[in-house]
Amino acid sequence: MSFIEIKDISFKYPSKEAISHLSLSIEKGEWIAVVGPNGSGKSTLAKLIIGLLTPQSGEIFVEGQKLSNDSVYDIRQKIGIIFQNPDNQFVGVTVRDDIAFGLENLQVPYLEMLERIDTYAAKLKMTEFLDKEPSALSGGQKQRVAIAGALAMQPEVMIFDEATSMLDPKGRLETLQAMNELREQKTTLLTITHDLKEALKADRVIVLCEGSVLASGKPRHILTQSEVLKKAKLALLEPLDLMERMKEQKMSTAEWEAKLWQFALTL
Amino acid sequence: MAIRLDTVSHQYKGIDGSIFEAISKISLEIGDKKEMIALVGETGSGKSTLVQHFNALLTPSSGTVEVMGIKINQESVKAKNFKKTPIRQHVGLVFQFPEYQLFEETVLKDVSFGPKNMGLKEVAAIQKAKKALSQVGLDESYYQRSPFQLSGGEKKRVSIAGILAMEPDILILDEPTSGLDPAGQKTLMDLFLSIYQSTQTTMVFITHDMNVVYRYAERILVMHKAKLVFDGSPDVLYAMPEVKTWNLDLPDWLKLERFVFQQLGQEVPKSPQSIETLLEAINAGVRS
Repeated sequence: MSFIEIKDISFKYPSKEAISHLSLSIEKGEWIAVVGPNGSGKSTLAKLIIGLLTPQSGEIFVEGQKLSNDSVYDIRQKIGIIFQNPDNQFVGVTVRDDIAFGLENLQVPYLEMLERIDTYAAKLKMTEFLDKEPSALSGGQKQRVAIAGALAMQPEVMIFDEATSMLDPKGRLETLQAMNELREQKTTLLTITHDLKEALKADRVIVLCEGSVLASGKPRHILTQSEVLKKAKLALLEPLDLMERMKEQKMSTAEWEAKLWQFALTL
Repeated sequence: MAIRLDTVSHQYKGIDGSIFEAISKISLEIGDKKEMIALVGETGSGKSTLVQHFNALLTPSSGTVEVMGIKINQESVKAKNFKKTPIRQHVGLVFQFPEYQLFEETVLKDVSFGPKNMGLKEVAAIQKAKKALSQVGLDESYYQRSPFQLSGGEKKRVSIAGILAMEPDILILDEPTSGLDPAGQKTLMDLFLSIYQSTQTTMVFITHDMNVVYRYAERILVMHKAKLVFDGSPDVLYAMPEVKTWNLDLPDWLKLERFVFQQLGQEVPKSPQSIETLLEAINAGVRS
């Protein structure tokens, strides 16, 4: 069984169906990007995985453990989640307090708590900000604090729900770097985004449309298909659009394709 | 002159008595002739504070703002006959996530609130509301619906219509597309463009997305650490090495152009090129 196993889940809000017979397996250490338009069910999927919502049918397993009322708290300890708006997720007066909050809830011993705060603040390059108020930080710094707080709880999976969409270019880059570092440390990542530049960097892309999986595969394979993207109201990234136009005009070479792909990864 | 800022600074006082200067000695002019202006700069650079001076939501700590001939400074606002309502009528400000500010039972009531508040009679206010709703692409089937049951994009349109109904000469949009997906962003920006083209309204939009700036702006204002560091045309800005220091990104298209010409060993053209030109250049390069 895969690390996260989602089996034929459906979820309806009173007014509309959000997820319809969706199945998905996520391997340990894999980075999956979920893309799709507003209302495609992306955020609902994240909430179902951490048990904030319960599917009306189907099952979710995390490390072989079935998600249920009894297991939800165990499972949530394995999963960290970062939301879109960094301002909505602070509880502490200082950055240090904020990181400590989750650890206190887990009843981590005091000395270990101090150690973990230092370790994860350092990892996210936030040590010098530990005694600052979160409100004094920039958007990118706030997301890094949120990530440090989530990581201090030593989750096995991190979910990023549109975590870069409200940030300025610098904040976006900082958050993307943090994601890259997590990937190198083999943390399982699920990033929900409508930024295809972010999805490009994942191991696998899932295109969601009206609550079901429209396409799934390597970014190089999925993000170069303009027809698939169009159905999900997304457009080809500019270098990949150029790549497609070159193919149409039969002037494409393997060398140029590789070059344009590498270039797209730098955006 | 529609709006003129003369060495405008604004300081916020912290709870501990510390002073934070959000904008510092800013001078700029927005003329009577309509323009599509982008205001960019990193988080905390003073963009929102700056635009809140454009409609007298904030009074400068020092310096003077002049809106349609009305002076706003520490002295003038103390005068007994000083009124902010005419300024708000000239300059409409749409906040980030304006959909959080919807409050009426029906869409039509919500949109007609602004004109009514300006002193218009019910019938006239409703007429303006209907016109504004059609400008944002919402037909009469929306009039009696509750704003709270609409999608995110529709709610944004309703709240923008609420400002348009006051028929401002200048419309300021603080990150108008945040929270929307790429298709929703494009639809909304195209809508602003069509309103811009069909009226005499000047638009000022705040954004982090340089691709949006590239597609829509005729003039760019750059804020950096409380100062206005650039005010001019897009092409001039993109060619400036300071773009990096100001933590701005270049539009993806320009990055792609530079990359392609560098790969071909050719000089990067000074003005933006079309995809066709790029294809031709590559084709010629591959053959030679």
